[in-house]
Amino acid sequence: MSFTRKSTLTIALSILALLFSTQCSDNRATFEELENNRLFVIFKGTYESNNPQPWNVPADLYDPVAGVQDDSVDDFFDSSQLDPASEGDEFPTAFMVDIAEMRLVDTGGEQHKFSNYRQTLVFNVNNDSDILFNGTGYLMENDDVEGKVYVAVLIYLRKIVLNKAKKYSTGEGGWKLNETLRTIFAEKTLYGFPVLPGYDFVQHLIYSHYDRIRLESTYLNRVFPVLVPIAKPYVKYSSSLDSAVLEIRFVLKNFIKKYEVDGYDALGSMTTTHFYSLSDWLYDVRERENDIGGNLLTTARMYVPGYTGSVVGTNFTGSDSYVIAVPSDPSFTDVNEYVKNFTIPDENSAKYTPGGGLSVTETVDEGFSLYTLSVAGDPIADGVVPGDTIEMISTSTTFPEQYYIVNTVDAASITFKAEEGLGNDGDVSYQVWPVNRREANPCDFAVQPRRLGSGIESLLDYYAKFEYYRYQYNQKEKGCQNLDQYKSQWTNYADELAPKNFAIPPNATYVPAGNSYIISNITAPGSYEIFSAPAPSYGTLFYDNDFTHQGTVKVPVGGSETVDCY
Amino acid sequence: MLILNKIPSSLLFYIAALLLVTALFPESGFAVKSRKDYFYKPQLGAWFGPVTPLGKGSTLVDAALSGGAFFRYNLPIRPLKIGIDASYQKYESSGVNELTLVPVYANLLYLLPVNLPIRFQLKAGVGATYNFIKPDEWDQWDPVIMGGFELSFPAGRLINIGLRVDYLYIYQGYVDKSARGGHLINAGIMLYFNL
Repeated sequence: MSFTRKSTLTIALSILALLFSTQCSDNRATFEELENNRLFVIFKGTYESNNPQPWNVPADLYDPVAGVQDDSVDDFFDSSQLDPASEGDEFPTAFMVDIAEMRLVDTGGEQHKFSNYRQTLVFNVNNDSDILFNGTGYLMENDDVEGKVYVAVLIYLRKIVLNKAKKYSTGEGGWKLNETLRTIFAEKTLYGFPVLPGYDFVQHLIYSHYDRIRLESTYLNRVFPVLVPIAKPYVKYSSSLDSAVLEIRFVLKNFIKKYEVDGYDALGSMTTTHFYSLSDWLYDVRERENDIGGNLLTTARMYVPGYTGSVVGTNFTGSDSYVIAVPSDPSFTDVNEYVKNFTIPDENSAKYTPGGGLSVTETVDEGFSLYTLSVAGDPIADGVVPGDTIEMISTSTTFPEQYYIVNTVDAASITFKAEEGLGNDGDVSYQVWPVNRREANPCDFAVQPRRLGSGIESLLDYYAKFEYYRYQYNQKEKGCQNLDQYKSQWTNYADELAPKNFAIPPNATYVPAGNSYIISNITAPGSYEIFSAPAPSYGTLFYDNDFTHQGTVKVPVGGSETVDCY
Repeated sequence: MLILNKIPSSLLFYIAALLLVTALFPESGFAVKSRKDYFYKPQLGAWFGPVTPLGKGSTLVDAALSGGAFFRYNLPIRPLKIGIDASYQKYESSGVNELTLVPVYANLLYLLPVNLPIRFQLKAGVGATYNFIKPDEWDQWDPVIMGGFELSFPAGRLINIGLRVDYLYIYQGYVDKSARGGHLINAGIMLYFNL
């Protein structure tokens, strides 16, 4: 018996000794590791990674070209139609976002949960000291993640709210303010009613053209999650790093526009709600379209403090500019996605004006006519390409403005296709605009109106709108005959605007004319192409050929390279 | 000493005598020897119950249900036993934090000399714990010390049923002087056999 006792004791002690002998010198404080974060997620509401352009909201909230109002607003144009005028639109003051969770996507496409925290955040809009808009960024709540290379972040957006949304209704004396809309945000209610002023536009962030015909259209949500690509150069995140920063940017600053939604009130009178959302610069929004999907422009970059450098320089271009640094690529194919962007009509400048004394020849072709516009100059040299939009402006009022697509271009003429007899009129002038991807799409039909209310006024409005819709439908060239064509045309349209053709650069800064700039926290060592472009007007980003190549630099760790912009 | 003055001296003498007898003759200190004797056989058992980290740790991971197994053997001194105890504890969280612990320790158990059908034991031990954390995917062994209390009652000659509460401290001060280490409470119901 005593032998057994002794041997048991010996065995127990041997096991203990064995366990402790496995202690390694590279053990770590695991409980502190659970508590501490190595990965810092910074959320910014700016195009720029450094030094954002100050807010420059146009004073005129009703101007559809240079102002805040989008050209899709068609029921109520300015405060002179309002009684009293002082109750008109106001620019939002608060931006609220409700994030359900965030996930990282690795190179294999696998999703990794790292921030299972609901975050409801409120920021000041039109305020240059707010951390979301002054270049500092908001530090998000998250845990660490496995050591891997990550290429995208998924952000599950439950709500995105801008305040100052107002509902107007018709009545004696014109439009009257009905109410300032309120919304439920972060479950805040008073006696069951929403208390926070604002309008949640997540419901509008879908695509008119696909999503309306899908079975799941009623509950489709394009931003749950929104996929934010992490720009190159990719950084391998590892738990041996002291810290790593993931910077997520939404283009919000100077990119907010006003839209409208129609409805009818309980008495059957028409109402219109003016709300604020993201600019439709990329995916154009038309009259009576409430879907503004695709316009939440995002980018993200990851860098490791201690493995970064910076680019500095002075802006000698004479105009307030943006400077961007994108990873170098000898073939420039990867660079083009940042600087070529795509071509959409710059509403402020025509690409080409053929001049006076034009002769137009018409060739009839199956109900349509090919028009050849003989011009004095060389349109090829002036950059006209097939696919550009030709605008025919009537100098009389016999017919509305027409847009056609340029078919072929040669050294002395431009050919376009139009309905028989419509492309040639004595009283017209022509202008060529850069191709509008939407105009170029033969399946870009007007959105069919829906009857919104139940009263007689809504029925009559519906008939009137439906007639106008039929008119618009018949204006379209019959290049879109069936659903397959419709699907493929809109898929092409979406592809042209997809991240591979258009991306927000990872490193960007705003620099006023004559001032010096610094783009810091660029992953180093690495080669970067530096471009500059004049600052875009409110609510727009950069058009093709806006960016000028200023040089290629190798950024050293901890150092800076100088590139002046001329 | 004020309290002692208020207790009759005969009672004090009785308590002192009981403690002395218990210490000197542990096997003869109780009236029902035969039933107790089954408890002095080697014992093998398992436990199951709620486990939770304490302090800061409780905000990082959630409490969990866990279980373990143990074996106990008598020492020459009657009220003392030596035991070995191993358990598996996986703490998850609403986020991605996850903590997996496998504490393996030896302990010394002291049977309180209370003449009741329910047995009270105090225990203290040392050992090591395997710990694995996510998302870092680190794993390592750390020393652990523990103290605990359990009560059990016999269900026949073979079976004991009991409740136990243990406190475990996972020491990581040797890694970094500022490391707090982990504090855990393990509670559970247990079933064990007199072999």
